[in-house]
Amino acid sequence: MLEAIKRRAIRLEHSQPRHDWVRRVEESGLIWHGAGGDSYWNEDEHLVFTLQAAETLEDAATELHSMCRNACEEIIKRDWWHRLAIPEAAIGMVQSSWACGDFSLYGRFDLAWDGSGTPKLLEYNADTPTSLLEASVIQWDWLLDCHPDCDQLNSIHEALISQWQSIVNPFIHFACVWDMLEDRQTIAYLAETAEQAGKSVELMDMEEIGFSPEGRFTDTNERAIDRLFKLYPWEWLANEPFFAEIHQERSRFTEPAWKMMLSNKGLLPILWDLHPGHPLLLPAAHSSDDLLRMGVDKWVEKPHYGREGGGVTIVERGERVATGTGEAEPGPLIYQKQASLFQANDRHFVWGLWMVGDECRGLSARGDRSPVTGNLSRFYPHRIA
Amino acid sequence: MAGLTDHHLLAMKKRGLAARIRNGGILQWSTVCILAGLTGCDSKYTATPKDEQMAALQKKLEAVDAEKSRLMTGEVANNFELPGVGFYHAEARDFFPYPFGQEKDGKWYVNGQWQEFAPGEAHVTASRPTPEALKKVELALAREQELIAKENSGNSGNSGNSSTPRSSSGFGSALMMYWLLSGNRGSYMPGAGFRQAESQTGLWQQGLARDRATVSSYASSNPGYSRMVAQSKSTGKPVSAGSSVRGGFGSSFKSSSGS
Repeated sequence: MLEAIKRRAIRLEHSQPRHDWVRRVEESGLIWHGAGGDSYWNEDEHLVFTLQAAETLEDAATELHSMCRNACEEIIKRDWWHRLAIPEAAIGMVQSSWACGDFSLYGRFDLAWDGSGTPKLLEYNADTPTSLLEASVIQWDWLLDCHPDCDQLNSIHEALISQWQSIVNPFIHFACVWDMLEDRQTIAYLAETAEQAGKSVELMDMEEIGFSPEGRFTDTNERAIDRLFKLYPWEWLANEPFFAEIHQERSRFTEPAWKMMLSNKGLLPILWDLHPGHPLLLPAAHSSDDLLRMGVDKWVEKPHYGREGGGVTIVERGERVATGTGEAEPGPLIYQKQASLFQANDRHFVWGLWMVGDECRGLSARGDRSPVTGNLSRFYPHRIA
Repeated sequence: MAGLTDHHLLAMKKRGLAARIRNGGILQWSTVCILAGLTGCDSKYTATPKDEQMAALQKKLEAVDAEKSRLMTGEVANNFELPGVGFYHAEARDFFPYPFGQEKDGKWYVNGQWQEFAPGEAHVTASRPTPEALKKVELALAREQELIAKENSGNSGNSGNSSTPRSSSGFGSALMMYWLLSGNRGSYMPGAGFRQAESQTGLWQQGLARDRATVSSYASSNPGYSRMVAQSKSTGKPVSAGSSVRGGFGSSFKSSSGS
């Protein structure tokens, strides 16, 4: 019986939290480890993957990344901008950004997989992925402290350093909405990896970015920004006054403008159309009628530009059975067949597969009582055994 | 990692154990700021008088550290300021009271003379001082030692303060002079000032170490200070009112930008 459990691809195990876990995670920068009495960082339970299961997820992410890059080519070739609801003013910038191969740092696939069959793509957080620090550093520290004989699908930290080393800019500015502490710690962590790559860095608020008479974006010291990592979605930038000034400065932005094609739920029906029946994809369409015609009667409605579960609704045979707690973004919806999530101890789990450059370099897990993952869904560390 | 084969290690692109968050790095700084409730170290941090004092001390310490190896070779960079001696003009191989290229009333100070035209932009390479210039340095070194001795004897008269050392501006200047003279031993005949300094260098080094500890302690308890210093180094100038237009990004914010 015990052997049978251990052979399962994925299992949730109870474990004793480290007595000083709060100090340990805060020392490493995770200071939003709980909210409203609920723990966000969780180590009284963790996930155990077989090596084969971890490699299944890793391989899935690698293949999906390749499919996504191919989809970018097709979107541009077929002028599928309307399918992504990308603002008219941004289309030329997205095309140039892709054609020039503007530098990309990282992204995160969210996959569903209950351990049987093949993983399924839920979405690609390609522009502003968070929960990076806990995926890269916090769960690794946990592994070293609690299960030093086990492994973890996690080389995110080194991969980020290596990726920074691949660009020539010696000085990198990092910007986010300063008052969002999670975002601030995310850019601070990314800046840490850039410093370890030998770069000089500066952190700043998006609102502090200036535009000089010489046509350059500047920091508060009037220093021209050569490379800007912005934890701020392109679809927001596209509606702001300085967007019109980006022009020649486009290639200085990371993540690049071409990520608008991927960090967009409109990508899901496009992928399905390009690869109908692909084992890593769920049927997806721009209308629920199209899904019904495919014989799908349980689906998830997602706004093109939703984040943290905002605006996500699960529909089963015409009934709305669950809704995300995040703020909904206005705009068109896409419809995707409901996936079978891994469930244990009354939680639903979504797997995050971290791409750095073009390689899958990490795995993270979020669990929630709701089948819709939100910004307060628990983060679970994992080990491979 | 134990329990996994080499094949598996390759397949999983395993992490190196050395990959860590650094003490004193930018992530730790950000954490300290947030945990401190953003006081005194947010993005609009303004330097305090104590910050400025510490930054000046830190700059001197860093200058001493940076110059040591070069001075020990006997060479001096153009426009290098040796407190108590002057500014070095590398072409003339001598120290003068004004910086190389200083402008005043339409004239420019170059190689000890006010000339009618600005010096060229071309880089002036470092050089070895003349024996006469080295004599100036040795005289200044003797004066510096007298000052240090006088201050130390003055301090010894103050109750409870007998071991208070002179600040590193004195130690640093004396050490730089000593290093420069050491690097040019073959070019001139060392006098009493240099010989006396040889026996004092250990004490001066201790003074520098104490000042380094003071700055380090201040920096670790004042993250805003560290950022101010970093910013000053990166820009090479103090914060000043700018001409850029700001506020053109950031207005769409509704909730976390992350996903």
